[in-house]
Amino acid sequence: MNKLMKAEKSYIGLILVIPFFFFFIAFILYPIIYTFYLSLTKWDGYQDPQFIGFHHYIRLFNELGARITGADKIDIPGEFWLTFINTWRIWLPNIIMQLSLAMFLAVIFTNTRLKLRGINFFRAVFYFPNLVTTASLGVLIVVLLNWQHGVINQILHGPASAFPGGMYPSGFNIFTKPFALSFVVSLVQTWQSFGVSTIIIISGIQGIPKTYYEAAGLDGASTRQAFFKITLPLLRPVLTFIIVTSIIGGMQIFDIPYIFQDSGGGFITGETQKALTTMMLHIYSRSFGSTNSQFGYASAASYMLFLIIAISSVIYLMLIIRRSRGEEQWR
Amino acid sequence: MAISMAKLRLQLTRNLLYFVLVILTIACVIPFYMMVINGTRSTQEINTGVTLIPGSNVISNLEVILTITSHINFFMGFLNSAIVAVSATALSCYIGALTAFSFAFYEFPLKKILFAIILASIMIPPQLGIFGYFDLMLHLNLLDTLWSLILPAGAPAFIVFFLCQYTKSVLPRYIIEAARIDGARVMTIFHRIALPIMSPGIAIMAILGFIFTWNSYFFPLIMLTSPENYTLPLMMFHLNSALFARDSGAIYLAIGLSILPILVMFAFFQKFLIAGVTTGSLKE
Repeated sequence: MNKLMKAEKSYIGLILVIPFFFFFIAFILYPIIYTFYLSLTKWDGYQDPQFIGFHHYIRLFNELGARITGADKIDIPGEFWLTFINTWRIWLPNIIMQLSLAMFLAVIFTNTRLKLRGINFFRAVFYFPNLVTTASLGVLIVVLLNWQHGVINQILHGPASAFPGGMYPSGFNIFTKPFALSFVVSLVQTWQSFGVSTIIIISGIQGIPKTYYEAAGLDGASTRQAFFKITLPLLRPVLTFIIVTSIIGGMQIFDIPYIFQDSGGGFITGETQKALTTMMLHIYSRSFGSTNSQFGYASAASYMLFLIIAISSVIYLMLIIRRSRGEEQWR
Repeated sequence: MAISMAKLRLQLTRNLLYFVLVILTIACVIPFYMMVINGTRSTQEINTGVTLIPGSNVISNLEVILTITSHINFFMGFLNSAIVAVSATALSCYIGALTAFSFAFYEFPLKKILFAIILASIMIPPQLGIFGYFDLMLHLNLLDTLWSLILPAGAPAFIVFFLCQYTKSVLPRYIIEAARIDGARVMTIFHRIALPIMSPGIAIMAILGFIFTWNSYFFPLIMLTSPENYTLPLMMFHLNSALFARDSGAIYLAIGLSILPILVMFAFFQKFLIAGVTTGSLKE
């Protein structure tokens, strides 16, 4: 009887997970493996893929080497690594601004002496931009920034009636300024995610036992000391989580730069367009976004992007493992 | 005296912080407010200046959205997005709950390895397999169909992970055992006992999943080629190209309409959404 039940159990549990693994193997795992095969081929999307081994990877690593040694100025273009730099130039200011802002908000929201009111309201309002369709947001920002009739320029120049012809008759066209436009993308990213980070950090701070602060208070520690000696170290796993998920998302940023590039009303060209080309945009423009598709190269670039993301994820997992081991030792 | 000084300083700090918070609130809300206002104004009005007072051109802006783009039907995009988001959410939640139920209450061979695979796949960005997936859809004749956007939802790794933890905490094992001894079949236990008890957790995942699918842009951009299959974000992009610098009023209104469902969900399910953020990040 007992044996029979156990046998039944083992058989049933496995059957229940079959649907998941059917979809997983067919629509997730197989495409990922096939993409790796494609990265070893030359494929234009029409004829059969032509196997060429690790050619694309060797090229990408050579380009990296050339970029580091400075030889790229001579003969090898190294476009992928240029887009790598572009992506980081968008992501880095974003994570700095986002974390500082979220940290500040979380600390003042959880401060027991300040007792700020309306925290739930603010939390919800700050979270809202995160849920809005990024494509729509991109279009909204393009129209708001429009150099002729955009709201932002209108505010900068004052009402047209007050300044006939405008203070700057030509308008401030941010779409011709590569660095400024990259920074606008960073700002949008920050604006979209600081609310989420705030919520996560708040729950992290609430998870820290009150007794730590009481003990620190008895020892005469100031608020600032308590923050740097207790709050910040104990928040490290939470902050790592935010940073790594932000890397995973940020390295793949696509929607906003893509919409900026293609719907700036044709204003975005040359250097500005180049500066906005992130890794995902590069992969897209070499494959689906081109009539002369290089699916093989684009697949290899996808794997390179994944490698960049994976290194960060591994660091995150190592930190988490170290943390849980440390906790076991405490108990 | 010293105490009142301290109190005064606290009050000053508090007011300063409220000021900062209000500024941030305005920064979060004003783009959407401008969108609503400009969506009700004519393009001429928009071009002449900024105002915070609504205009009276909603109907004509709406007409522009409906007529000027004869090859793109904006409301078809609405329908397509709804079909994809609802089906993908339903599929992922059902399979996610079933898989989580199995991992939480049954012992079976390979269980640990299979769960490790699920955990590992959370870390893999879905874009990695895009070229293989494109080729697969090509061979299955599913390119340019809404199916191509729904099928990957059948393997919702994160939902399985989340619901597995959740189920263990809300559903005591002895209830399952009792039902089993009473002779209830597995699917009956799942549908009658597990699903109802798991439903708050499923709701969090469903709301987040719906919004995620509704907003997704990259996958539809690659999979869909005919305008009649476009989802809303794609429609927005093409509408903007078609109307840019010609009819900003209509663009603002279209943006507003495209995020209306998100706004409604946010208004109703705010608590669930915020709970989803915190539970997703704190793995205990």
